[in-house]
Amino acid sequence: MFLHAMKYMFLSLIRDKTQMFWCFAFPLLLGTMFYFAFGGLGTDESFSAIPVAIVMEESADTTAAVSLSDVIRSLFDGLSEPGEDQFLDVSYTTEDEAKELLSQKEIYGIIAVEVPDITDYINATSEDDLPDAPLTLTISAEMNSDPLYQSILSAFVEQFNMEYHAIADIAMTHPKQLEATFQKMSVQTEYIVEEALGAGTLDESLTYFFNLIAMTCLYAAMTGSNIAIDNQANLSTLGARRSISPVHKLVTTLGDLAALLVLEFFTVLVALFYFSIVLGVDFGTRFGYIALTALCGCLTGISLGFFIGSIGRFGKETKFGILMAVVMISCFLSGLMVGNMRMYVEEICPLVNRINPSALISDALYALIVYPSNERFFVNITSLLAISAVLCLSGFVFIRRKKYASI
Amino acid sequence: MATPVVKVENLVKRYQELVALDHFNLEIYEGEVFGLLGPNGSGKTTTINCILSLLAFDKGGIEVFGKEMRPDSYDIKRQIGVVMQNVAVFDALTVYENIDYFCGLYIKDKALRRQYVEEAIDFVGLNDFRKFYPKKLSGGLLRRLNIACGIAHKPKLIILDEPTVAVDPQSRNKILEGILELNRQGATIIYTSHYMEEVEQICTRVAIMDKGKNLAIGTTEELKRMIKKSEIISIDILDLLPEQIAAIRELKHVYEVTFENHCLKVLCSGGKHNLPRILNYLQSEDISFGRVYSELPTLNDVFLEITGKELRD
Repeated sequence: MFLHAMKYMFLSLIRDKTQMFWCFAFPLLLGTMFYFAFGGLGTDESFSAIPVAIVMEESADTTAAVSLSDVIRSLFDGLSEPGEDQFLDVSYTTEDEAKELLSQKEIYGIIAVEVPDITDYINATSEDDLPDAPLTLTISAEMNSDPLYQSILSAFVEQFNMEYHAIADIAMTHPKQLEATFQKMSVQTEYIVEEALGAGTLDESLTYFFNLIAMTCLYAAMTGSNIAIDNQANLSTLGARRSISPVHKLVTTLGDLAALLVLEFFTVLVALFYFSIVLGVDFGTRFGYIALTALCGCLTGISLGFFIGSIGRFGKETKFGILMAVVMISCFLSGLMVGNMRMYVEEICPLVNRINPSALISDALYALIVYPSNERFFVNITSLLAISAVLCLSGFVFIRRKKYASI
Repeated sequence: MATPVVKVENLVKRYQELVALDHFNLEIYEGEVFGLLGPNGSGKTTTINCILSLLAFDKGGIEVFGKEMRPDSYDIKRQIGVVMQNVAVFDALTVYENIDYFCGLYIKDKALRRQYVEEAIDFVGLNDFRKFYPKKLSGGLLRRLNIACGIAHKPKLIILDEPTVAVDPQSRNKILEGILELNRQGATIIYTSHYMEEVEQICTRVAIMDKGKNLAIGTTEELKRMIKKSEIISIDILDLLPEQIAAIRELKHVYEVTFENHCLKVLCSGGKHNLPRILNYLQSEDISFGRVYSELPTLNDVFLEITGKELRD
């Protein structure tokens, strides 16, 4: 009997065009919109070579100065070699040409190279007597210039000059240590190691997709509500007809809910497949756990709808309105509309995040990406299951009533 | 006497201040087509819902097939088929699937169920529409589907709650013929309606209800015999003198005479040969007359005489 009810409810659901739109098409459309709206959040940070003009000033007419000038020039050539590691896009120009390019915003800065005379170092008796740094940077002062690239150029020039002075200083004071100094400088030590703890990489747009998945799961609430209504004799004629049949109400209701769960779970899997394969959203590699989250999320959505559908004598439309409001508020508080809303809620009232189904689904997916252990993930899953159990059992308590005061 | 299929004793149902059923009694026996006749709001549907254990009642008792009817009396429910007043089908299932779904709630055996569904489709004449969705069916066909969903499992007791509301005459006749056929096949029928013609046409016994009370019960002939009026004679006459009207009133079995708009209306309380007696008097007085009508009383007349109001008021 359970399978009989489930089969026909499943058929009924998949033939309902409105149901199929909200289940399948709407999340995909919204996801596509998110992709175009927020898709750049994670990818705009990719680095491209910085266009810069190099102005080589006249150097002292000494062999040392000429050699140093050649070294610096070969350094810039090396940094601007095409390839994945290309740092600069160098143009050797005169000062006037460089200023023209800067004003036309074709370059982010001008690096002027003036190699000091080596005798200035030899004659220097203290640090104050040392000649000026060989590189000077001119950048645009306009507001709309890219501050990131300008900062990078500034840091590059500063580091070059610092190392140049360090070498010159050591050459004067400890010439024997010069070779060792060069060796140390040639090796850059990273003191911070980047390591992915979870199964993927988190960018800001991903949180919107987490919440979209949560919303898709919770949309099952609308149909869950209809199922509750269609199993109550005082709310629908279908409910009356089923109530007079020789089948326990629990059996037909569970059959209906199981059909809805199967359909909704499939829907969320389709959405996940579309987001990850077509839109290229990286949900990580823990597919089993992601599917478990989707299943528990759908269960919670259906339970929520079933509970609301079971209480009161309001019509389908009123209950649909109540549920839509509940789902939207739940998704808003978990960050569907404002990305970091969940963090604000965590600061103000953390309890909301512990009982908000959308926040729990979103956080479960987040935990899979960020944390190597499953502790936080399973806390979220357990919370979802507990909420589902409470809502479902409460719903059954309401609809189990055998006789009605009025129909 | 045999055990009644349905027995309702002293049933009282209140909706706050309103008394919907007021110590209502009823006994329906196997093989009957029992009509519950009454105006809208008289308590017909409330009675049905109480019998089906959908509605809680304040007092009284209900037995079906000799057993107390309760919400979990699944063995009793298995033998009941109900055709609700409002159509109750799934919009997204076809005619065949809808009947199969509801039949499947009663019949587990798939082969038997398939046979029953086919028979139900044949019975209501929906063979050409088996793959249609309910929204594509006309009002009459939809009602037929509603009936098929209620009777496909071949129940022993069939309750039809105003199944012909908003149905065209052709479909209505088809439905009424179908109900008689179900009765011939052995089902006991409870039929509620406020259409007295339908009740007269198909019911073997009728209960007349008003304000939650059972006003009268019996066969249509028995009910008609309960009232004073047994014949209404109408005759078109150009003119009548007051003394002639008074003379007609004195004729045997005549209890009321009116003359309005050149029409003489004579109500007779019983007996035979009322019409020839009146016509003989008119001829003896040399009164010329036109068309002559003689009507037997209807259930509406019964209802009118018992309650003082028309059935459809």
